[in-house]
Amino acid sequence: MGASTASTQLIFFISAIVVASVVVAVASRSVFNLTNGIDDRSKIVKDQLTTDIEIINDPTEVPNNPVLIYVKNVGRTTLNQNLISVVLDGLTRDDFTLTLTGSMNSYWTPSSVLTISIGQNLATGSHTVTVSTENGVSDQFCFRI
Amino acid sequence: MGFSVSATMAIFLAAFLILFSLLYSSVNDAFDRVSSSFDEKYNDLSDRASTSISFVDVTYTRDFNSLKVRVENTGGTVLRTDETELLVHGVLTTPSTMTIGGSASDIWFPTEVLTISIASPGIQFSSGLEARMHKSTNSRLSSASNITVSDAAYVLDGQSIDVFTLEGTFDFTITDPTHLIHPQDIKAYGDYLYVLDNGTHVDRYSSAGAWIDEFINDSTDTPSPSSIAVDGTYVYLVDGNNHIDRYDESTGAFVDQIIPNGGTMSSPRDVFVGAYIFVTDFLSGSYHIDRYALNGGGGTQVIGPNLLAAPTDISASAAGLDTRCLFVVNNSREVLVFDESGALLDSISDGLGDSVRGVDATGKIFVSDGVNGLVIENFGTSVKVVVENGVSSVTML
Repeated sequence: MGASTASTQLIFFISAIVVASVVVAVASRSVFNLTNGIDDRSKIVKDQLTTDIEIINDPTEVPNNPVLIYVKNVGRTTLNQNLISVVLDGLTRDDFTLTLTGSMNSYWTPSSVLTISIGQNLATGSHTVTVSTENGVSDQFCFRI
Repeated sequence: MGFSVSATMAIFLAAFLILFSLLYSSVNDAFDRVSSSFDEKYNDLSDRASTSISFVDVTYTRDFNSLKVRVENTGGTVLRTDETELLVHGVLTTPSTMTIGGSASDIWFPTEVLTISIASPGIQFSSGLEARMHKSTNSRLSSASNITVSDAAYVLDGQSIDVFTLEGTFDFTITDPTHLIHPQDIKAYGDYLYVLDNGTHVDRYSSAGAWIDEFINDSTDTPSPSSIAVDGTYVYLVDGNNHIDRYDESTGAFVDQIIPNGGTMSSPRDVFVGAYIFVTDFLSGSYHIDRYALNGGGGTQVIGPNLLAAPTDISASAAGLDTRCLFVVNNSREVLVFDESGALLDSISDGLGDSVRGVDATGKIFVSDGVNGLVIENFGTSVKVVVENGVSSVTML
């Protein structure tokens, strides 16, 4: 009787340890996922908060044919100019060429200006262009040709 | 049984403590990260709200084909000059120099004035500009006639010459009864003001208005000169024999007769030299404007008599500009603007009376008007300055 009780207790004990370990492992996985998610999300929010761009064209005299859009990085984040998206008069454009001015010409560093050249002869009238960065920060600009 | 429960609880407790510390640390890091980003964003927005710039003046000097922009830091933020952008006529332009108080500086403190110089700026006349009229002043002017502009605007006013800043503020009057007998035409170039006087000679004055010398008096080669033009090399005179003669701009020595009468030119009334030599010519009771190459060759009529009615003065854009125009005072009440091939671009009459006498176009269009005095019209080129945080200011030339 004494031996069987001890065995039973041992089995219960091991089972309890195993079950507890499994529960802890599952909980740990969830907590790790949660911490990673919080970490990633906070970095994205940080990037978005510290990213800012400004279209600095003169609205009365935007160069036409080709259309030149000047975008200044007025935030604190270095951006990848190749990941921008450009929407001109409601249409997404990918037929543009990019030129960077500033001390670095490989990365869109803070305070440098990205020139977006779109080979189009815009008609006389009002137009709108929106430029978005890799992390969703965007600027919209209305001008008249 | 009791020990199993205790052990399980111990494991749960240990795991809870470890995982909670991990989670707390992660949330704390994230909070710090976002919080510091909010602080930076707040600082940026605060800096931006307290940033302000305003133009002091924008002047174009035709003699050197250079644009000078003066901007004051009117906000409370220290700015960086090397992160300041300039757009001329909508095009991003690289400045030649950026100075504060005469010396280069990367830091631009509040109340300081940044001077931006641009060589060969892309300024150009814009037709159809709504805000054409810039300023007019009748200060000190009683009978305004010819006008010339370099680093100041000089208006011939009877026997004296009134001098205005490029912003149209009266500066001083050149009065010289000894040498200014009957001034007919004036031309400012470089450090000198050339005055065609009494139908006989050309006097030279400093830009401060001091008489320097009788520069040209040559009744043999140039009898009865009636109009003068100057470029960086020569002084051009229309003489009483209906020729155009050239004199050395530094010595005043006769060089040659560059355009004889006959051919395309019969009775020249006015001459202006920019990228070409433009001559207002009178033939058979009507006027036309001819264009010659700087060597006097290639004469061709660019503006016919059908567009002109008694043109009294002519001016042209600087040779160094990419887009150049010709400005003609027509019918005493308007300034006609043509391209160099003679195509009519615009007719300017904003703020002008019915006795318009002279025109000279540099960065703005300066008109002398017997009624309204000195009238300054906008050229149509916008200038925009953008500082590091995107705050900007725009003005019109």
